[in-house]
Amino acid sequence: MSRHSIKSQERMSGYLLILPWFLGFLFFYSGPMLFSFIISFCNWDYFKDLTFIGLDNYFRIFDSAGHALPAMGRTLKFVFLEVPLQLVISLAVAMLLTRKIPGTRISRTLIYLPAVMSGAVGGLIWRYMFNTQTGLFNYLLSFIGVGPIAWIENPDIALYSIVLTGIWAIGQPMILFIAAIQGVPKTYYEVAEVDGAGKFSQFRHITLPMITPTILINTIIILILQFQMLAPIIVITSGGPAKSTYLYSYLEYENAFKFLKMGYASALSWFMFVVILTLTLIIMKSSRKWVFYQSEKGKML
Amino acid sequence: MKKGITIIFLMMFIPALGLMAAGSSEEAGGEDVVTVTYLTWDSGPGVEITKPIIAAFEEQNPGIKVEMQSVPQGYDDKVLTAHAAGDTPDGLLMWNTSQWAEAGIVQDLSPYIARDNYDMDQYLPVVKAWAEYKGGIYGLPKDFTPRAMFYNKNVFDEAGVAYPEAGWTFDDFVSTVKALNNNETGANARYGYVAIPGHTYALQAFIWSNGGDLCSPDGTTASGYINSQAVVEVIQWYKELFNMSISTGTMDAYQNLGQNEFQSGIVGLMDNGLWPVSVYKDDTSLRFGIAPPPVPHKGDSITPVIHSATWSMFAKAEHKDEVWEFIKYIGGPAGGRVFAEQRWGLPVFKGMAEELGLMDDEYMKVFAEVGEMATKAPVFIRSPKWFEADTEFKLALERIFLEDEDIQTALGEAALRMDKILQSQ
Repeated sequence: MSRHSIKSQERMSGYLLILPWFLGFLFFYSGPMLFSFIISFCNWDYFKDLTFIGLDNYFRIFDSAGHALPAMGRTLKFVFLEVPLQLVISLAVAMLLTRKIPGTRISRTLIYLPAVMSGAVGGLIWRYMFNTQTGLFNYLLSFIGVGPIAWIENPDIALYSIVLTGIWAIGQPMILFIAAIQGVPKTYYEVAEVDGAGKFSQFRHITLPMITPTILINTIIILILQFQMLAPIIVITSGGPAKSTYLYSYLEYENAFKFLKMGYASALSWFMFVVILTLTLIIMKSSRKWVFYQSEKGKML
Repeated sequence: MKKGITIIFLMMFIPALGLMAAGSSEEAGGEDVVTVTYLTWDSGPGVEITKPIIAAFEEQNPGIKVEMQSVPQGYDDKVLTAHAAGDTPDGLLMWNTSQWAEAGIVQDLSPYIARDNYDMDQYLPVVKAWAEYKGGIYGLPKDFTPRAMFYNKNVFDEAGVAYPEAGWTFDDFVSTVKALNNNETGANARYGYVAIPGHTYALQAFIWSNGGDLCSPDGTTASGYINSQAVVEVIQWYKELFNMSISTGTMDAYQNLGQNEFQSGIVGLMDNGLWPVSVYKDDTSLRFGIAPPPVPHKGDSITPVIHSATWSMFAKAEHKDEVWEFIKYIGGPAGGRVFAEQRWGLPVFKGMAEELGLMDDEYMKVFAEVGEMATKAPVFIRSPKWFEADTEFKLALERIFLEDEDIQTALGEAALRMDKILQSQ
């Protein structure tokens, strides 16, 4: 078989593998997306008064007296805190759990567990833990004479408390990191050891470069998920107190389902789509500088 | 390769075709009986209680079957998406009359009421007002409760403070809260009151009692109302309360309104509807009483705020005549009596509280008396835009209570933003 036909066969099986996702997108997502794009130029409260209003909904986003821009600013702050936090913690945990120490299997399961829990249920548990009077955190802090801290009642602290809840979302990136770390050939470490490289040096010069593709994919996935993070906000603070946790996703939700402004909410969504797309493209572009792909053998040697 | 794709396509579509076939055969199997579907946010005992009502209704109306669909979580979202998709059940429980009436989600029942000469005057005026919007009637009242003050007798006795009585004033309230507060921290702390910073719904009662209002009667203007002297006075009073109360600004508080703190004796006073009464009665270690809300000045009267709901019909209902028959039954005296007997809410019919002996119950009596003084439906009944405007009022209150912003300034700014929202197209 010629090299060419192997390549085309590979390509074909690739298409086949993404086919279920593609069909799902075509049937379940593309229609609603197109519809939301259309109504983003309209006034639409649930089939009543569908009127074309041009770019008004988009202009409203940039109204300096409105809530959309502050909410986007808050969301960017939140995402920029959340992404490194989840990356660092999930990588650290993955490093620990790939060691040959007892209890790694059960630990992996336990750490992954919150990922299968619904955001609303997880949010409820955090809300109880954050409770100023009866919460777990203040109870534990009381032993060292600290607090009570108004975790989610103080407008200056609340957003950081919400950031903290992200550590329950590390299950997914952790699994990817574990797979990546285990994929690094043992021989590299053996050679490094012979050359007298210490553990940190091995991590810095072997593990880290070898898992950069996974760091990239995790960064992008976490970024997108955190922009869209909604359920915990609804349950824990509903955007309060004093709008300190009023994130962009909650603003969208409120406009769509509480104020019945589907047109405006759709415009908000498309603006968020553009912001996420831009950030993703920037990260992808930058990845050429820091992500190492094994097929590019020349670079490594 | 093409063959493979065909197989995948077939695998996807065959089960779907099967489902469609199953659906249609079921429909064909039905006889002349019409099944009315009814959406409720109640679950468990709340649905259980409708069973005898439905059974009695079905016996009287052999051609109609009623199926309750319980959606305890995300009820409003479910209603909106069902309506947008065009595939709604026939009836629904509703609380936010103006919004869903304006959006065309619910059916104006006045033609049916006129056709059947249905007596709307048997309902208390305030619950009737809850169901009305722009001249239409969008449901029959289910049950209701005014907000009143729960007091924990254990906490009062321990602090040696006299129980509150009808006619107590805003000042009495403050001094009571102060006296109950033991100024300790941690597990030993006792507070007079649970104050929630942005609880605009509860605050509107105090504002009405003080002669103010949150917006104009037609629901289009907040300026001159929300920043009026009457409102400023109430917010000043509430800020004093807030500063010495247990701080609960979380969603926990908005949803539970301090029920747990009250039950466990951390706080002495709680502003609430009658829902927790049945739970508290089962708690033998808890001794509690109910007092009417305080009045601004000695001799003033109160204008309480109520919570209610209606039996309503989807505008896109398939079986409108049948669901109206059911609404008339469950929302009429026959159904209303069954609900009122459970004492989860007050009866919406004139004279039924006395008839059912609620006046002999020390807790229900106070709620019923306060309920009789209720004349105003909450502000959101006036305008569907209120929900958005209210977030500005709430934000102003949180800034005042949590960030010490000047009351007049914060309310003045909120008024302008609220006007813009209320007057938007």
